[in-house]
Amino acid sequence: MKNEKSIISKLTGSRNFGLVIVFIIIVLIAVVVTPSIFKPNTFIGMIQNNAVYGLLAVAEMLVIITGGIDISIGAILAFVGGVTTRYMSEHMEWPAIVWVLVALLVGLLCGMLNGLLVGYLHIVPMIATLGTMYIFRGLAFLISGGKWWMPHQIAATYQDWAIKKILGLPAIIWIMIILFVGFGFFLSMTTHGRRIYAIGTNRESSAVAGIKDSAVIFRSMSLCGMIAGLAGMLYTANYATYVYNIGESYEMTAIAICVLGGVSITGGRGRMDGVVIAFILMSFITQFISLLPGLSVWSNAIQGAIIIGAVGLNFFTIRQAEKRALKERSELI
Amino acid sequence: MADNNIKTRDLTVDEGFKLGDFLKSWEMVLVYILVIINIILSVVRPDLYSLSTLQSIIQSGMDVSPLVLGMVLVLMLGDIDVSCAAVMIFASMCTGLAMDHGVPSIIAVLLGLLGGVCCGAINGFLVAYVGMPAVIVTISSSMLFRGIVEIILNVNSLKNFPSFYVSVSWNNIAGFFPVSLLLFLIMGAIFIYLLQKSRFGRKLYIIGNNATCGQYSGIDVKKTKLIVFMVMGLMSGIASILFVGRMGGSVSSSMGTGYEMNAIATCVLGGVSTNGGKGKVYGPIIATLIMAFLTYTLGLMNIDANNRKIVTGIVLIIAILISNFRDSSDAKKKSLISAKAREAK
Repeated sequence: MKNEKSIISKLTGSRNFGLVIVFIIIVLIAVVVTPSIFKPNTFIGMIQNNAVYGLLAVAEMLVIITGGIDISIGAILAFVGGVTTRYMSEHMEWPAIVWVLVALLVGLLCGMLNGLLVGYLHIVPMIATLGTMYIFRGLAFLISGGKWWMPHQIAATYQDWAIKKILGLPAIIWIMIILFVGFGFFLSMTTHGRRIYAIGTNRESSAVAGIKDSAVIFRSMSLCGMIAGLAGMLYTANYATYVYNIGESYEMTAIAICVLGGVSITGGRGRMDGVVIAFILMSFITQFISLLPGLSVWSNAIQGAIIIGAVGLNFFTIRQAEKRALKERSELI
Repeated sequence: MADNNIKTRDLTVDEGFKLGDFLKSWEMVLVYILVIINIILSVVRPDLYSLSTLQSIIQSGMDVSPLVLGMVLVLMLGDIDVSCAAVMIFASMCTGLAMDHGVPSIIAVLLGLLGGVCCGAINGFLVAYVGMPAVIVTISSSMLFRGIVEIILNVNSLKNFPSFYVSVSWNNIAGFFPVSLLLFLIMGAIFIYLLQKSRFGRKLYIIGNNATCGQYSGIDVKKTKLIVFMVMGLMSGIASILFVGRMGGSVSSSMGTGYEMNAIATCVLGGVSTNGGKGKVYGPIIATLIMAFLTYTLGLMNIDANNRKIVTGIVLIIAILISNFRDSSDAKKKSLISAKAREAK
């Protein structure tokens, strides 16, 4: 019996191996083609602009691990952003923390509606959230009246929640880091976090084992809505503008980041470190393409191709690792 | 000896035709909904309730119909395709570019369909042979296909399309029967045959219920999946004809967003399960009409497009809740019956 593996086989066996390889290749290309991307300011700006995706990826991850999916988070982002922006512009003098709490609360309510439909009424997640997506999109238009909000209508204290520099980093990045660390801990260390994995692996057997499956799914989707709501508020604070159709197809990017980061779309698998790497990779790709001269129309196509390539490579390495594990086990017997 | 009956398990399904069950089936519920919408429309706006209104309602909802039919097959496998709108735009671009270069219109149309099939084949290959989940493949490939259209067209739009595109979408046969509806019904009939009567269709039900089981009973699961995705691509190509026609014969890269979600929503409203292996083609066909009538009716009642979304979402959720409720009460009834049968023995 040999338990110690060499460092190389450990590395190649890791689920994120394919991802890291793609990352390294793109970084190498970037070093040659667009060295300006590595200036600290550009890098921080890149993370700041994409932080909303990071927040949504955390939200989506909580749901995907239960074996579900939530395609309404882009709509929740637009709706909650509309609620906070509208009432903030009517009450400019109120402290900004109020709007953060409002965002969390309204997002939570949206998430609870999703959780109710999926957890307790047993509607297929994709369809339930497709329905609520239409509803929240409609509500986003209703609450904003189709109007635009410009930077001068948005209070400085409100914007500070996203752009104020604390220890050299904008607040939105700190919030994102707190969420990454907090939910990473929550998922891997707490009882409730492990229950989320258990339900994603097998809902029936975890219900038999005494986990209240409906309640766990309800809480996961509520949390997801809450984070998406916060993301909506931070989006408007970060860009200091609001239109009712913001966040369209953001849910797809969030799902792509999750899957790229090794979260299994069928549930029960996925770790925060993978999602963080995938998030940085995605922001890096977006930034990299936008820095290339005259290639802005190429961004969608390149992004799509890279996701397909990376996920394909990831699946390939995972399958190889599983094969190797199976072989080792059979040798042991 | 009563015990002799237990020896072989009776697996035959002899439900027969019961009028009561037929009237309560999901497809009939959809018909009732359609009738109710019509009654509401005729009561609220009797001045507008006429043959020409009905025709334009139907014509306005037909461009998504080929996507719905293709999506039934994909959902039947338990997969999903969110790239179909992008494929549709890609296929229209193929036709438009070919027309711009002076290719005869019939070949240009075929090139468009071929473009759709190729896109479908890429999706199908990645899903079936590489083994990636369909959601992620189609999300990223929709970015890819739409991205290619963006690269080629940039901000321009193509305006040179075969002349029959517009007439397919907007003309009526003998003055009252929309051409697009006829096309939809013919395609629907083919799909009903394909799914309910042919060997290929029955394979889809088996794979959708249990792919491993299908593999062991001798079905080439990978090949079947590839074919289904190619059919989906072909249907997206056909959808491009109706779509471009409805848009008055022009196409640009940002058109048709959200069509994939409409198609999925329509399928689910029609009783197709997204888990795979459950559903019929009749349901989605009626559901397509319901969606068309619903959007148009709300439009006639002066409800604007964004508030219509709220209504559509609520209708979708309520419809699913009803069908879920019916399923669970059916299951209870069946288990009750079998329990009684056991007691009787």
